[in-house]
Amino acid sequence: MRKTILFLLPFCLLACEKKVSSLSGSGNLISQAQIFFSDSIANRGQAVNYRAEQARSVQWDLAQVIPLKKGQGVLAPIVYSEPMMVKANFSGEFYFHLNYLTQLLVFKYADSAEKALVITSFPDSNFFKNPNGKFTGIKFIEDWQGHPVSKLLYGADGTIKKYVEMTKEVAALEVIETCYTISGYNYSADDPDNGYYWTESAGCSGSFIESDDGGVGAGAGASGSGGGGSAGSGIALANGNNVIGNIIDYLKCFSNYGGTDHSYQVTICVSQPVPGSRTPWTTTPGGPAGSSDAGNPVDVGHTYLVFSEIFSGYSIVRNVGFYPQATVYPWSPSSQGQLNNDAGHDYNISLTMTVDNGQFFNMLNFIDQGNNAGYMYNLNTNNCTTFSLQALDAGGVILPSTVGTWPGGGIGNDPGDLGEDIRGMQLSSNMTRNTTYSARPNLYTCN
Amino acid sequence: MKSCCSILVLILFGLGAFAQGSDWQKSTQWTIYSVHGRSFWQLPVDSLSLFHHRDLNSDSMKLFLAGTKVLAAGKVPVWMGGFVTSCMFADRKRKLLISSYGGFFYDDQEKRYYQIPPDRQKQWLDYLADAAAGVSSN
Repeated sequence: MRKTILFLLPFCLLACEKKVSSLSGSGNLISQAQIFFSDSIANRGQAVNYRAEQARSVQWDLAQVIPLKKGQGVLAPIVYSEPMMVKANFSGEFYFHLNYLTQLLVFKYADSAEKALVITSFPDSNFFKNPNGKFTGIKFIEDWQGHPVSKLLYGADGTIKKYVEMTKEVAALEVIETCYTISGYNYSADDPDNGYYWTESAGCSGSFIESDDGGVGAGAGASGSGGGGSAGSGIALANGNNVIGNIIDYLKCFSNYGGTDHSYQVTICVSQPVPGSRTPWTTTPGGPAGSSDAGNPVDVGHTYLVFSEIFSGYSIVRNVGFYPQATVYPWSPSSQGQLNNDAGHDYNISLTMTVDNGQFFNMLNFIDQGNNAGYMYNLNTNNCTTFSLQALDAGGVILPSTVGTWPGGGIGNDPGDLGEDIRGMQLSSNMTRNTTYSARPNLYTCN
Repeated sequence: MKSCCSILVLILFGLGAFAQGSDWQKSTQWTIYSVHGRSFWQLPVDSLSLFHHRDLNSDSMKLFLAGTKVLAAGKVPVWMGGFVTSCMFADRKRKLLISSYGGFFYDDQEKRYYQIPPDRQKQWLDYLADAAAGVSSN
């Protein structure tokens, strides 16, 4: 608790650069804050983010009156009823409790009504290494319902940057940027197996700008409740989510422009089971050694697509791969189809083709069906390679469609053959071939 | 006769225990690796640390792995790529290859496939992909 207060204090001092005055007079500020909170805040409005939806209570017995530059405020820790475990991609790979990192600040501007803000501190990995040092990380400033008011990025060099939501045009200036996300796993103590995972964006490096006042006062003074929408909606890059829940949403950043201002590319990435070979499958060491299961022919490789729109030197990039939803076997080759973000998937050969907007969107339209109920993956007739080739075909790009065979009577397109077909192709002027892996992360976000 | 029965019971118990598989709730120190461009089936477990890697949250992994079942002998799934991980189990480092679909993984030491419960597969894959994205490429 003391630690939490310590790293909140600089924040509050910064907040004072706005016109902040004490709650009415020098009376019992904590009691006044408690009354104000229970009468005017606690049961008003609907929560707009997962954290705000959870049952939580303000620990008024631990509340403190803290100095603000031009007055005082009341700061009280918030405790969640159920364990609220969070982590952030800037905090390291472990979860930490949000209790006591979440606090309620009640104060009053000289020219306005009392206000209550929820301040949630997400320390970064540097702070965890030295928790007695200066706070570094991101603080979310929200109202009780979770409406975002401001986000502040506390750097190791002492800088405090304020989050500014970028427009699409401005965000385009930050093609390479670091995005911050927090995620949580929440569960009931008596039923830990049935927890709930959630994520929120904490903004991207390009959306934090140097802050003049650096404090909550700026955000609080600007708008009070901050309007609707969840915190940081539409800001984070779409990386990390492996299973694509909503393909329309996943691809929505792409825009359909004719002419030369926007160019479009599609890359087919192939991970051959035996790099440089048409071998359609290879053995993996399945089954206990010496058993009949050892050395099963199961590694079939993978093929996926990367879609890119380039404009003014900036890129929107989305990786899409087609998979079975459930585990498939050579003798049980079919399952509901499922689209995944394959941004991190390996490949050993790829072919990039520049296409026009019409071709590009015809391919996207084909891709859209991948998650449809009843649209089936089939290891033989509609596998990842078949799907990718057909998507290209929908855009008028015809690649060789060699088929391979595998045990169990299977026959179909396969990454082994496709990879070698690509390797042997005479490339036209709109094509480039790559035979070494290089990361192609998803880029760009939009609302 | 009595000793024969005892031996039979011990054998059956042993087979049962083998079929049951490892208790992943006892695993610790989960790590994910970036081994792009390598045939990770052949990578020895003691060479994994040469690759870029990052820790996974062991508590999270245990939550995902609760209720994991061994895939029956002969049910060897089709592999389409995945994540290379390791964990400590009974003071030994074990290499585990996690499929990028379907919620199954392969234990390189036991030479067996495991399947996690279907209702956790999406979160499991999201978590692993998120972690993998944070590991620098080689």
